[in-house]
Amino acid sequence: MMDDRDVERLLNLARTELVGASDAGIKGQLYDVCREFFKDSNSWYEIISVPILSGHRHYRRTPRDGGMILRLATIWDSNHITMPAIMPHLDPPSAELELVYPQNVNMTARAIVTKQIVEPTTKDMLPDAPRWLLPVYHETILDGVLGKMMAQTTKSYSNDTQAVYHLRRFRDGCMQARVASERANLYGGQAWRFPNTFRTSSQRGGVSTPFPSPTSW
Amino acid sequence: MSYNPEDERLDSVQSYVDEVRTLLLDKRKPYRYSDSEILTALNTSLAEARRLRADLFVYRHGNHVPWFDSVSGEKVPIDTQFRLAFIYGIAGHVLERDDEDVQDQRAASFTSQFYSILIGIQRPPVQGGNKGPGSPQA
Repeated sequence: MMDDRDVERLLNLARTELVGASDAGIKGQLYDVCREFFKDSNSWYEIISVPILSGHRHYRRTPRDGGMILRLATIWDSNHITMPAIMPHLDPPSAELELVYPQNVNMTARAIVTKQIVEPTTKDMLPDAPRWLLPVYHETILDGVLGKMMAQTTKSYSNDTQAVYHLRRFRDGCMQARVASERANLYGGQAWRFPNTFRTSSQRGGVSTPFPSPTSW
Repeated sequence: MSYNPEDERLDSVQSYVDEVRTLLLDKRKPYRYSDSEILTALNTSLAEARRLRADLFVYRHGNHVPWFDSVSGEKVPIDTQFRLAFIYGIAGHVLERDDEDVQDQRAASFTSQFYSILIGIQRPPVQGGNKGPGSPQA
C-alpha cells in the first residue's frame, strides 16, 4: 500500500500541471501508468514458497503481499537448484505453476514471480501498489500521469508536445527500473547475464562443480 | 483557516438552483423560471458534461449520469473546480428554453462559459446583458 503522503505529493504536482483536470481522471490514469510500469519493468516481485508433493506437477499460488502474479522468473528446489517450470495459466491474482518434471520427494521450493497491480483499487480509487513505488520512482510515475493526461484530446490540459516529452521520460524510467530490477538494485552490477546453457549449478559425479572444468573449455 | 468538507457550498441541488436564480435575476416569487425548468436544465447540463468530460462521472457512477427530480439538499457530485461551469450551463439552458424573455445572446454566452470551463482554459467574456421584455431588469 502506497503511503498517503507520497500519493498526495504526486497528485498535488499533477493537479498543478494539469489545468482543469479532475481528481478522478488523474487517479484513473495513475492506475494505468502503474500497470504499464510494472508490466514493462518487472520491478515488483515476490518470493513465494511452493510446497512440492511427489508426483504432482501443478501448483496454484496466490501472492501474499497484494497484486497479481504476472510472470514466473525462476523456481528453486530446496538445494537451490533451478527446476524447469512454466506458468501457463493466469487467474488473477493467482497463477498456476507447472513443473516440467514431477518430483520424487516432498519438499518446499521457492519461486520468484513478478507482479502487477490488480483491481480492486482502494476506496480512494488508488491502485494497491507497493510502498516503495513512489519514494523510488516518483518522477517516472509523475511523467507517466502527465504524459497520458496531456495526450488526451479536447481537454484544457491537452498538450501534444508536452505529452511526447513526458511519455518519453516515462518510458526511459521504465527501462531504468527494469535494469535496476535485473541487477537487484546493485550499483555497478553487470548489465548482462550468461545464457542459461552456461549455468554452473549442475552435479557431476556426485560432486558440486561451481565452475566448468578446464576440460570442457 | 480551517477546512471542513461538510462546509462546502454550492454542492446541493438547492444551492445550484439558488445560485442560478441569482444569475437570472429571478430571486423573488412568483418565479419567472420554475424549479422544474431549472431542474431540467441541471439534468441536461449533467448529461452534456458526461459527453464532454466523462472522467467526472465514469469513475464514480459507471455509465450512469446522476439525475435529480426535486429541489432539495441532495448532493450534486461535481468536483469543486467545475461547479461554476454548471451554474453557467444551467442558466444558459434555462434562457434558451424561454420563448418570451428573448436573451439568446446571453444564453449563448452562458453556454459558452460552460463549455470553456469544462474543456477550455480561458473563459470568454459574459455578453448580452441587455434588458429583455418581462425581465426583472426591465
